[in-house]
Amino acid sequence: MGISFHLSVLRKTKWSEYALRFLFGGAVSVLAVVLAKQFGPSVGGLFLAFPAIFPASATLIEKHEQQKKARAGIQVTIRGRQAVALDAAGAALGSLGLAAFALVVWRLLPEHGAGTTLSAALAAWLAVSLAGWNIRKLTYGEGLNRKRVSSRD
Amino acid sequence: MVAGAAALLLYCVVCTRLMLTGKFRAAPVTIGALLMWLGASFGAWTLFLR
Repeated sequence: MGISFHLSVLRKTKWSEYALRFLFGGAVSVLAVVLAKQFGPSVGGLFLAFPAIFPASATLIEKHEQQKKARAGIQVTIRGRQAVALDAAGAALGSLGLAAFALVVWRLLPEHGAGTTLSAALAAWLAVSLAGWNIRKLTYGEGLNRKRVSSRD
Repeated sequence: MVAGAAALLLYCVVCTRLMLTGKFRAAPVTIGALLMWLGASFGAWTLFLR
């Protein structure tokens, strides 16, 4: 499975569902700032990696997949759960990228400007995440995602 | 943030494994695993950053 953009997918999600994700994400960002002021930046930094929007996204993915199957006349399915599992697997690769981002900021920021540091950190995030994706693809093969989702429907 | 990202990796792997079994719904798994994220991240913070 290659990496590609499908803007049409944006229309499948309701505005209220986007709002829910922004609400959780924003709330945790504010919490991180409050905790950093109260207990120090290292505690605040922990919460910059808090899975704030994942539970809401996972629940919505599961619901959308179940609705899709219900429209096709299939009431009992585990496709939604397996779609969530694949989303979580992608998030695991993203978390490796996030760790690389944090390491670069930690090491570079004391000696370089914010712009340079954040650019380098974003490049590190992209490189590690894409490398993780490609290693996973090489390890498990091209068709694993589709096979896993469809084999137990 | 590095400690939080390591805890996030653990969170995602646990969610992936539990959801792949097909036995659990997304909400209890992803919300319940937040407790594990809190434990792992504060454990790492206590060990390495405090």
